[in-house]
Amino acid sequence: MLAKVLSFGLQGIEGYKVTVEVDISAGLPKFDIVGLGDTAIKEAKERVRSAIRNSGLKYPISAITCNLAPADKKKEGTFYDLSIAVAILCASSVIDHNKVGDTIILGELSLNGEVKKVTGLLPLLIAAKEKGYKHFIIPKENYFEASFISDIDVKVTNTLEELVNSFRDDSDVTLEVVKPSNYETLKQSKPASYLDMKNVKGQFSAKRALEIAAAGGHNILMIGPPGSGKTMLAKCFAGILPDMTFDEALEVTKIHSVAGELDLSDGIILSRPFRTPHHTATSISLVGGGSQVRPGEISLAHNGVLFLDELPEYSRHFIETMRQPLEDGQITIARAKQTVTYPASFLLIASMNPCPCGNYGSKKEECRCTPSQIHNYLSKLSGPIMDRIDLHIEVDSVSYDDLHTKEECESSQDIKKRVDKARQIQLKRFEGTKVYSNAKMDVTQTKKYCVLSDECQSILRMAFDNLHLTARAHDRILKVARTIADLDGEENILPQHIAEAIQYRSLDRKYWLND
Amino acid sequence: MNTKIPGRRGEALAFNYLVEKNYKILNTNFSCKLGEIDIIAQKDGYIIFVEVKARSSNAFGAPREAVTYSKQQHIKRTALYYLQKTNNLDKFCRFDVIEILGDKINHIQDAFM
Repeated sequence: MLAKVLSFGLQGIEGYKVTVEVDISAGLPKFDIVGLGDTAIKEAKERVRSAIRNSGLKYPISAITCNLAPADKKKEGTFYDLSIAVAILCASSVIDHNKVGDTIILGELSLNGEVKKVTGLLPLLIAAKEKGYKHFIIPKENYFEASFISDIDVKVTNTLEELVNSFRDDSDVTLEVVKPSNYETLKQSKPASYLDMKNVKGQFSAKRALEIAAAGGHNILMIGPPGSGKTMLAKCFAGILPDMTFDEALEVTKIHSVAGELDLSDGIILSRPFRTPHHTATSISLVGGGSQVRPGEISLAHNGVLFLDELPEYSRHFIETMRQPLEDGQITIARAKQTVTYPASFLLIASMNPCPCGNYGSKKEECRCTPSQIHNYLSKLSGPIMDRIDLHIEVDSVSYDDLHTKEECESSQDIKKRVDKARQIQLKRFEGTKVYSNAKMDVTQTKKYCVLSDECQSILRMAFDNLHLTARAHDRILKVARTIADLDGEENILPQHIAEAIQYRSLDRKYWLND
Repeated sequence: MNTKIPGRRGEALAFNYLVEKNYKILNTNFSCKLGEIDIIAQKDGYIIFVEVKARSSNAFGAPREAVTYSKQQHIKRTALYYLQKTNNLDKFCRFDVIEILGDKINHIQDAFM
C-alpha cells in the first residue's frame, strides 16, 4: 500500500512543499528513509516506530520505504516525524487516507507518542499559505506561533493517539483549533522595561543623535574616552526605539523561529531585538553559517539593533563582512551544500575609544599614545565601514556639575513619542513597500523624497567638496536630513536639516584624515 | 565443554512450543554458507524466522542478549537466501527470538528487523 502525506521543509527562512511518501510491501522487514535527510531524519525511524507502538497502534511488520520528495533537496530537522508516522498509518489502513487529504502535518515525535514542538514553524506556515495550502496540524506547544497568521485552518495535537483518533469515524475526538491572537493587545499586555534616558546626565548632543538614529534607522558610531557613558547611552537606546509594526514583527519572528530562539508562550517577538554580541564571538556566529546554515547575530538583529561595544576589538574580518549586509539589508551565506539568504537589516550602534589609552581628543585628560599607536588603533576601521555609518558623534566626559544637576533630563518616553511620530510619517511614505525607515530607502526613493532647495544644494556642495565625501556618503546625508526634517514635521528638507546631517559626517575627517 | 547439547535441547523445546501455538513449521536448522536459522515457521500469512537461544542461567546475561547485531545480520542474509530459494520473496516476514532459561520459554515476536 502507498500513502502520501504533505509536509513542508525549510531552506533558510523560505519553505517548500515536501511530500512524504510511504510504501509498505512484503519482504524482509525494514524501514528506510530516502530523500537526502540529515541525521535527525535518519533517526526519525526509531522515534516513529516507538511512538506508533506506544500509542497502542499496530506498527506494520513489513518492508517500509519512506521517500521525502523532492528527493534532490537536502532536508533537515525533526518536523517530518509526525507526517511520516501518519503516512505509515495511512499505508497500513489504520487511518483513512482520504481524510488526511491535503492537510500539512508538522511535528516531532517523542518515544511515548507525544508530539513535541518544532523550530521554524512560522516561516513554514507563511510559505505554505502563500502556496495555497489551508489546513495544518501542528504541535500544541507551537499554538501561539500559528495564531498570528490569518485565513488558515490550524489544528493542534498533543499526542499521536489524539491525532489518529480524530481521523477515525468511531471516535468523537476532535482536535483543538487555533484561535487568532491580536498582536497589538498582546504587546500592550507585556510592556518591556528599559534603562531610562533620564538617568544619563548631560550628553545632549549624543542624545539628539541617538534620537535621529532611532527615528530613521540610521547607523551610529560613538567615539569618546572611557567612562563617558557610551555604553549606557546605547543601553538606553532600546527604550526610544519606535514600536514594531506587525509586518516587521513577523519578519523578525521568522528568523528567531528558525534559530530556535522564539519564546513559545508569546509566539511572536514583541519588541525590537537588541543584540549585543561580545567581541570574542566568532565571525560565523555573528554573520551566520555552520554546516547547517543558521542565522547569525546580524540576522537575529533584523529590524532591531546590533550594538558593538568597543568596535575595534572585533576581528577585522568580521567588521569587513558586515559591509554587504549594511548596504543590502541581507546576507547571503553560500556553502557547498546550500546557499541561504537571511535578512539582516539592522541598525548598527558602535562605540569606541579614539586611541588605546582612550583620551585622544579629550578636553580633560592627556593622551599617552604615540601617533603610530593611534593610527593602528583607528585603522582597524576601514574607510568603507566608516562610510556606511551615517552618524558619527563624539561623547566627551561629563563634568561634576552635570552629574549632580537638579535639572530633570528628558525621559525615554518623551523622546520615544517624537521618534514614533517621525516613524509614522515614514511608514505612511513607504506604504505598500518593504521599506520601513528612511535609512533603507533605495536610490529612486532617495531621489523622490529627498528633494533639495537651491540653498540646501549649495550647502551640500560645499560640504561635498571640502570634506571629500563619497557618493554613498552624499546619499546617506540626504537620508539623515530627511529624518531630521521628519522629526521637525517638515515636508521639505530645510537648510538647517541638511547642515545638521552634514555635521554628523565630519568626525571621521577629524580622527582619520589627520595623519 | 560441548554447547551443542543444551542448544539442541532448547531448539526441541522451542519446536514443541511453536507447534502447540499452531505455527506451521516449514524448516528446522536451515543452513547455507551464509549462516543458519534454527526454525522457520508460518502463521497468519507471515513467514517467521526464529532464533532459539538457550541458557541454563542468567550468569552471563539473558539469552536474548546473545543475539548480537552481527548474528542478526547473518540470520537476515540467510533468510533472504531462503526466500529466494523457495520463491517466497513476496511474502510478509518476521524475525522472532525464543529465549529459554532453564525450562522457561520467552517468545519475542518481531525481535529485530
